[in-house]
Amino acid sequence: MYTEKIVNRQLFFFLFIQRTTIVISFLPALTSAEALQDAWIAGVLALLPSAAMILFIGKLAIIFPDKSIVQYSQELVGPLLGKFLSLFYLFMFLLMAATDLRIYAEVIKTGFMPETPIVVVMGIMMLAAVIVVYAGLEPLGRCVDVIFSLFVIMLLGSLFFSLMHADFRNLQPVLSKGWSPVIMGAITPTIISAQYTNMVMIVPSVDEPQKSLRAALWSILFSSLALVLFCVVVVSVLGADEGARAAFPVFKMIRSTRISEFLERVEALTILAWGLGLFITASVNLYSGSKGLSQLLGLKDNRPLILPMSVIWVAFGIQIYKDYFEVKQFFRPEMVAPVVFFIVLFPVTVLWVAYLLKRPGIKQSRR
Amino acid sequence: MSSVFTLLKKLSFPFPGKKKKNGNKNKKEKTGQPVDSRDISQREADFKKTALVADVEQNLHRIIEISGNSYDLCIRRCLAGPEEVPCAIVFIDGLVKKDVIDDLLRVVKIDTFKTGIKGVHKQEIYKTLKRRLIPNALEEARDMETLYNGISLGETALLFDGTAKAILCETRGWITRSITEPDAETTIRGPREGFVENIRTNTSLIRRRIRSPNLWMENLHVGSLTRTEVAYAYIKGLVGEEILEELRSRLERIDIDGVLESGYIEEYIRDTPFSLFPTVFRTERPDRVAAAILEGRVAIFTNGTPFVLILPGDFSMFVQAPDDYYEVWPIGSFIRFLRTLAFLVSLFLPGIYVAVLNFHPELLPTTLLLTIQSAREGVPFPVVAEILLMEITFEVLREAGVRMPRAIGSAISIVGALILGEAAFRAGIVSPGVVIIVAFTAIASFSSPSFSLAIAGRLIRFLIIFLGAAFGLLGVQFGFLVLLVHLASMRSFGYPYLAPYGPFIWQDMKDALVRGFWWQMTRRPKLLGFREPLRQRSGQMPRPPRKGDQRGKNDRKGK
Repeated sequence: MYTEKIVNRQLFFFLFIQRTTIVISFLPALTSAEALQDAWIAGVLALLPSAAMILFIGKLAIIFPDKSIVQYSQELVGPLLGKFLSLFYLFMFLLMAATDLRIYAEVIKTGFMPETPIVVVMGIMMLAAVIVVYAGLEPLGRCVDVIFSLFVIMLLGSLFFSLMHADFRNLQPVLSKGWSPVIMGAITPTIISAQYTNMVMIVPSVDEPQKSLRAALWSILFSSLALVLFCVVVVSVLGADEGARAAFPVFKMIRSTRISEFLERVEALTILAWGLGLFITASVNLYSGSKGLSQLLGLKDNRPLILPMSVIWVAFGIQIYKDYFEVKQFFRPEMVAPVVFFIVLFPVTVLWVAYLLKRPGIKQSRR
Repeated sequence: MSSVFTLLKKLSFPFPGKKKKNGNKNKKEKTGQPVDSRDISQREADFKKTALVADVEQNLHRIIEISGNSYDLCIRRCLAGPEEVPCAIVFIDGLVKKDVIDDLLRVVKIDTFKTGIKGVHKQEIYKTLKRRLIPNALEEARDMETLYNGISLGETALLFDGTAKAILCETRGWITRSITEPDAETTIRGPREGFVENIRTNTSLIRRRIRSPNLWMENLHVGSLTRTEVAYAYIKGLVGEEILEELRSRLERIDIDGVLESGYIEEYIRDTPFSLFPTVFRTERPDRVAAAILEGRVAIFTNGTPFVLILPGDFSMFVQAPDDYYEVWPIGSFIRFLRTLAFLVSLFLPGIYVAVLNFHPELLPTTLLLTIQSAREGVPFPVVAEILLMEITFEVLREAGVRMPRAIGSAISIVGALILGEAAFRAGIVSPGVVIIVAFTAIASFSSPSFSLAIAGRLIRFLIIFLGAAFGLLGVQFGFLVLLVHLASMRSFGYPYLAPYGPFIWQDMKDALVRGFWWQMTRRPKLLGFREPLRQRSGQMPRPPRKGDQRGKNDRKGK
């Protein structure tokens, strides 16, 4: 059977775009809610623990380079428990895609098309994701190659335009309330790096899986850079309070930008970048989810699962949150941390323990 | 019950079912009957089975029987040599050079006496002629199929009594269009030659450009009735063997009665038959074909058409024009970038206009919005209807411009420009904004150097308009994404269609959106020229010699 292969550059693009999409959608609001004008320090602080978390999740995938988590968890802890543990992961993909879709739909609804129901917005984006996942991982990889440069150019453009209104005095005073709010603010961005669990499904399709971890770490570095940049610009344009209170700070920041009589309302640029990023996020998650579920069920192909799954995902995205404020609540550290710990870190920990206990035997059998 | 059945049978008279297969059987039984009752496939099969016999009159009789004494089929009977062996010359008038035929007749009638062969066997004269006398003898035909293949290409067949073979002589010569500049692909700078309908002329145009013996050309015949010559040219050792293998198998698989244009071939060898986008490039310009062959691509020549196919074809190829490479670097890059932009505009501009006016008027600067809205005052249609009306009108206008005789061409432009544009806007049917958008879109789509890509864009533009009208910019974005997925999932003979954008290939970017310096393009396209990536020596940037510098040393130091 023909196996689809992508390269580590594409994996890097996947992970970078996925995280940066979250960043531009709502992250500054959340870090600055705790840390106010020191949000950028929280962004910097989040880098190291995020990298540690990625190492923790990703290293196990590298040890089994030709297996996805559904397969190696069964090898490590037995078929029944393995399947049970990988269900957590599959739920994580669903949760991430549904949440991202929902936020995007809320932005479109409040900012652009107030009369369009969110199910239409979510449905359209999901349909695009369904089409690309049907086409396969390789076309998805080629799409991300094209989208990446557009995405970066648009984001840099919107940052550049916003900088004209920046007032860097808004960033002062630094560390006025001490370290504790900053550390609190760093929790959410760290926890969000649980998104990198997509690696565990994609690594088996990468042509050089040994280098995948490096790609993931580079991507966390660059996306943290994007996070810090956005924090700085948002806070210096809007001010710390406004940045913390606004529903969509980045969006609000761009909207307030007016370069000249003619060049105003450049927020379409950001929204387009966001849409492209969301397309990648949704399709990568849909791919991981459908691939994982097909392996869990013992199907040869993930394609029959895609369409029904996407319908369920859209419905889930609508049902899980009542309105935007519930989504925002979900990303408070005290809400999101336990969820992610339970869904992502708990199964990985079990697998690590099993691996460390069983390692000699596995090495022999692999030889 | 049975009455219903008979009623149904009666009602179905306009749709006669398959006749029972006794037709063939009957034909086999009555072989003795006149040949006219055989159908075309039967005739072709019989003809292919027929072998030549040793009796010249019988052979001629069969030829007449097969080709029905067609009036352009010329048969000259004569007697050759001192033995007066009956012989015949068979050719098709119009395909041959008359003076070569005269030479041939002179050889057969007169020169056979000079050799001094006398009192020998009948077959001897055939051998002598073939070996010594006829300078342009090509091959021997032992059956009717070879013979007809020859004479239908303009060769002449010599038949002798007592020999069950025929000599085919090269006498080709027919009138073709002379080499002119192709109308559809003009350049400001660059060669003025274009392909013609004759395949040999076309391949010679490539031979003249690439003089390496490693330029290989293979040929085959496609079409059971037309037997069209199809040739493919490539550089042996540069092109990937998998591409050739795949091409060969696809070409050999074609089973069709006739090929009149390379478009027939194109549809048979495409990877994605349902896609609107062309995956095989076609051109009339030999310089483009030569450039593609040098990159490691394959060119397919079809007899009877000036359009040569190039494969694998990728997206960036379709937005490139030969001028890019002939003009200086900044101009070449600029016009290429502009053209790519124009293609995107021709796809998305009307859709975006509809979406913005319908859903997001706040995106426009206030004064611009007010201008547009006040101009729309009194227009009875919604924006989407207006745009569709004008787009469809323009498409009809364009089609009319292509179809109508040249002499009335100016009338169309007057009708189009004045009556449709000016009057429709004056009468308040359409707003000037829409006219501007449609006109600019049309100009943008004309700027595409490849017609086949532009017509794909024409159709997709309508889809984008509908999406924009239904879902606003979200719909346009959806259209963009689906288009991107479609393009990214396409391959042409294993070559990704969107390369070098997706998969992103940095080293090929020098010749994608911009055109790098010639001395900078040291490598061939990565996925095509992988067998020998290096195309030229690096560090050839020209610079004036410095004092005390030796030229060669300086160059080597340069990199």
